[in-house]
Amino acid sequence: MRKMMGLMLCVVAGALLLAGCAAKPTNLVLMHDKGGNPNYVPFFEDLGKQAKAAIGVGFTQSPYPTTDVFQAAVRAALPTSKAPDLFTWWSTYRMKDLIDNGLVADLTDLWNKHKAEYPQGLRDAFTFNGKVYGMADVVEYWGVWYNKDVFAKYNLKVPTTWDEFLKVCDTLKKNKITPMLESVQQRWPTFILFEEMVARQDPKLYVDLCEGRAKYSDPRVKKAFSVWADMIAKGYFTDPSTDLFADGPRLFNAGKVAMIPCGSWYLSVLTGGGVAIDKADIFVMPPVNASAGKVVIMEASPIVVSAKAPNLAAAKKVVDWWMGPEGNAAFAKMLNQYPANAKSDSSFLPASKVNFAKTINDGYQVLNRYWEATPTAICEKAVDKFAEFILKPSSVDTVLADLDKIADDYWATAKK
Amino acid sequence: MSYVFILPAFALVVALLVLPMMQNVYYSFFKWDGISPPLFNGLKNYLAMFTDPVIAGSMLNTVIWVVFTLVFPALGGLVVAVFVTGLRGENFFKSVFFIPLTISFVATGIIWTYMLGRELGVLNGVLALLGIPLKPSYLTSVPLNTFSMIFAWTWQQLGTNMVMFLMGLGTIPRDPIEACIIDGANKWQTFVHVKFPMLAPITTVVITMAMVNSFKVFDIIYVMTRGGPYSSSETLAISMFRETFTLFHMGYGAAISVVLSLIVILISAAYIRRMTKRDMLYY
Repeated sequence: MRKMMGLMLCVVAGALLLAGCAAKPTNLVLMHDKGGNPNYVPFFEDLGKQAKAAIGVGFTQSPYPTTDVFQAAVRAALPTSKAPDLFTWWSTYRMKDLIDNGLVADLTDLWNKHKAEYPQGLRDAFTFNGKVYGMADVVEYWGVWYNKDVFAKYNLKVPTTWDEFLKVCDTLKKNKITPMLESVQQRWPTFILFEEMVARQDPKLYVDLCEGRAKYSDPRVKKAFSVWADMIAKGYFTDPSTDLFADGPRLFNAGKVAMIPCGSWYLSVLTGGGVAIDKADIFVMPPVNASAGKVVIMEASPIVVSAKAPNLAAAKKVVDWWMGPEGNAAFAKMLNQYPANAKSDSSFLPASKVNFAKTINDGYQVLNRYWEATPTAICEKAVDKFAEFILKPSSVDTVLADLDKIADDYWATAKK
Repeated sequence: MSYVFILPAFALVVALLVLPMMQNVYYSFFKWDGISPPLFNGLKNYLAMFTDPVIAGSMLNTVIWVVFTLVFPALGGLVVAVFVTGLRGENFFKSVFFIPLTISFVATGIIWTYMLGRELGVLNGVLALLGIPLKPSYLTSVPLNTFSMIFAWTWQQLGTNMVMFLMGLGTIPRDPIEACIIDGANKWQTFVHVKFPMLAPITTVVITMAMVNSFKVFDIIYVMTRGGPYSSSETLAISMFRETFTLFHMGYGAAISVVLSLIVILISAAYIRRMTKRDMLYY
């Protein structure tokens, strides 16, 4: 009898344990740095609910308001059992050291499953040693946002050559409108004009520079900086203390600044800042050197799965859904951004972005953004050097020499 | 029995301060990116600080912060406390100077970033209204950016020091002041020869806190300029953060924090020791 009672108690305890396990919900966590400005918190919240409804697994989020604190938090968490299941990150060199240290889950099987839905070039941006890491949620391209009302008022047309571009700037300047926004605030925006100037001088030089095959003191780089310095001297840019996010939309809306070079995602920043969606349009900056050809800068932002994700299988299930046409479109639609999945619905995109995509598809060479295309150790210091140049264009020789030293120091010890 | 009562606080301090500090000192002797295995490199992190031009600039900015923090918020707090005492509407003026203290450093930084914006900032807007043809870039011109942030810091910190000095003034006994007045001393002489010397204990606290706070100033700079442009407004605390959490030079960042802590501890200890000896004269 006593044995029977013991057995029954064991069965009941086992059943309760199993029930407890079954009832425990899978709580996936997505860490991201879009908790400040821009603020993606409501979008990720919505997407988590949509994923839950579609596949039975959702996610909650852990947002960070600034990029540097976010990066530090992710890097600290990744080697531990508290690693986030999912986190936003950047492609190419920004991913490399995480992958080298085995902190990111291999998603090759999911990329193979969705092979027909993604262009090979995009897959390549996330491929290291034959394995694919991270999924592309959106892909954006960098151009020049312009105020259509201002252009119409002064009878300006979208420039297709560098001379036309300078003429537009000149006309705006003569009419007391600052042609373009340039900023040293928040550090990183200083690379925007750098990459535009160098890539439009010589795209191969840009790639070689990013990957350590060319020197910053190369005469062609110096030429690109001299074009940039000339534009600064002519007063084609705002004061560099102008903030891209806090000041940009207001100045643009008031017609005080006519053009803002930035990613195509900046449309949501403009509209969030009160700019009517049909007031803004975007074009690709024309080549400074005609032989540079049609070049556009790409920014592919991935969602990455931690190798030590507490719920790895569930995280991959969410990624599988997010990579698919339905999930990819759901997120892109909320942000008015380009879905990375070629088979996703993109009919929601505003006319400006539809036309921009058509332009890019017309034989443009796609280059990776400087932030991801060059090693992080170089980029983080280089953005400060670009700021020094923007504020003191006469310091160009010192700046280029310093950039060479930063790059040389890195490449001398880097595992290529 | 006393040990039992101090044990919880002692355990928390050891767990949350002493042990992390020891770990920080340990990592300052390593080259480490935070994810790869750390590599021992002896004193190289400490030696590198002597040849790093950014650290030299940070050190200079830190000294500027310390000096001007003593001049403006500390001395300003004393001046306001002295002049506001006995004034008609004393409580109103005290409240006005005290209100910024209730705002966090981050909020203060954001408010002043908007105030000091070149294109859309309030300050330049006022200059334009007054017809003054000046449009300074308060946050990107060097060294104006550092002084602009010290100004914002003063706005926030003045109230703390005012309150401390008001407390000090309230504890001065009436007898020596009345004796001074009977002897024919005017207000200035009474202040210089009686009140100010008797404020020495509170002055020690205010100056020590001002020095420590300015050595470790971080929040307001991080919000307003992030130490930029091109590290021109970095202090040692910002350099430590940038090296550790932006460049992931964990060992180098740890070394900077060790040096910063040593400077703060040594200067504060020396100052407190000297002042407490002097203060004994008045009691």
